[in-house]
Amino acid sequence: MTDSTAIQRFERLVMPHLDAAHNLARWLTRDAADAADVTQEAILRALRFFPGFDGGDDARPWLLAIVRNAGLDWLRRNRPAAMVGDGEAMLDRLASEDDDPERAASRHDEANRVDRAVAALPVEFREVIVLREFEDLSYKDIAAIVGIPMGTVMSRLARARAMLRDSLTPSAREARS
Amino acid sequence: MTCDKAAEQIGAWLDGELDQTAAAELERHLEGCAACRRRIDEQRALGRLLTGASRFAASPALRSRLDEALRREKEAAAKPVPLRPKPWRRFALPAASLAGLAASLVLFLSIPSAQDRLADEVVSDHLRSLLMPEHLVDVPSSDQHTIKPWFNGKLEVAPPTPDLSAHGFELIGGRLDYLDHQRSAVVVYKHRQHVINLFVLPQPAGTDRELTLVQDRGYSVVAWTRKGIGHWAVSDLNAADLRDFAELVAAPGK
Repeated sequence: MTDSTAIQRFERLVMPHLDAAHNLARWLTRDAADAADVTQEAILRALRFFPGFDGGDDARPWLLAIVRNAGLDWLRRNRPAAMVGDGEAMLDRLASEDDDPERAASRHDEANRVDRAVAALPVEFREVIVLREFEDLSYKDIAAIVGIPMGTVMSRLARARAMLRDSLTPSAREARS
Repeated sequence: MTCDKAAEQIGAWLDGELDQTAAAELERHLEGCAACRRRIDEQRALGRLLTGASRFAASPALRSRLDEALRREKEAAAKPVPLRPKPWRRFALPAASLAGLAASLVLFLSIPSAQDRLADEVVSDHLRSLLMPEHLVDVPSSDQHTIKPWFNGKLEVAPPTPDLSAHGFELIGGRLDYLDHQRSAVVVYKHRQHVINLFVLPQPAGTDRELTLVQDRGYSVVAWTRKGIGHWAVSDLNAADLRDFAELVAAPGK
């Protein structure tokens, strides 16, 4: 049973990271409604697991690990194709986002090109990019969240970045080949 | 050091995540390799591009839904819930006709089992169904003959959908949900203003058991498994009323 003091502590330590949680859920699912469902599920799970949280004052990596697991569970159940590195399959969905009029209006601008490149990464590469580049987490935290050794974080990030360079700056690819 | 190895390490080096020995080795390579030095610039350029990617903050609607859930959790936590639920027989029986049935149902209180651990998930699913009213029922109907066929072909088991309106339990619909990583049938009833979610999921052979009460976060779950079909009734109703409901559903012949 979670008592009311624990819930207050949860509100103080965990809820400030709601935007980070939602951002990760959104990048994992690539869909606004799905991201809201995953975030909500993750917060409820986090509340349930909170008595076991002993990570000091920074609950963000702990929460993001729960979001990541909830997001992958969700993908396995609802979008199994997205788990095997689809790339193009859901890009049109992302491009036709209408939940933010400004984004829709600037569909072809630079930010959108970057969004599309990140969204096109297979999920195991996308998650490390989001955790490192958008959430600014250490390799140690990323290793704990994804459940891989730190050396694998390094090599996976290097590959993800190489994929992004290839899709965003074709000239870099030609220069190397 | 090979250029391939260097390429793998440049990102970590720029991130300040390479240990001193590896960093020194990489730096020696970079001094003598113009191609790898170019990669540093490419990496930095990519980093700048990525700062322009979208960030998706939680919507105000999601935020207020979650704040509301936490508020309810606090209320539920503040309610005095007895640590050891009272024995069932201390609750008045709802109808004389149930007396014989009640005698045959033995309740084992608070004995944790794998099935009870599912009770925790059942409570979370229940909370979610209340938070997102549009997800409460996929097939809204008070007619058991509408709900029962709706589940046909969707699941391995046909959930019970008895008409219990005479007892004050009003059938309001059915939906599919997830329990224990499987699709589960949920039959939804209302008693006064309290929603009751009845989850139905096949269970491993040999795990049959009688009605069991679990209390979790101020919610009551009555679980039972018969002929390999597991049932979990969950609600914020008081435990006695929920027990009555469970007995009516579990009653043979229904």
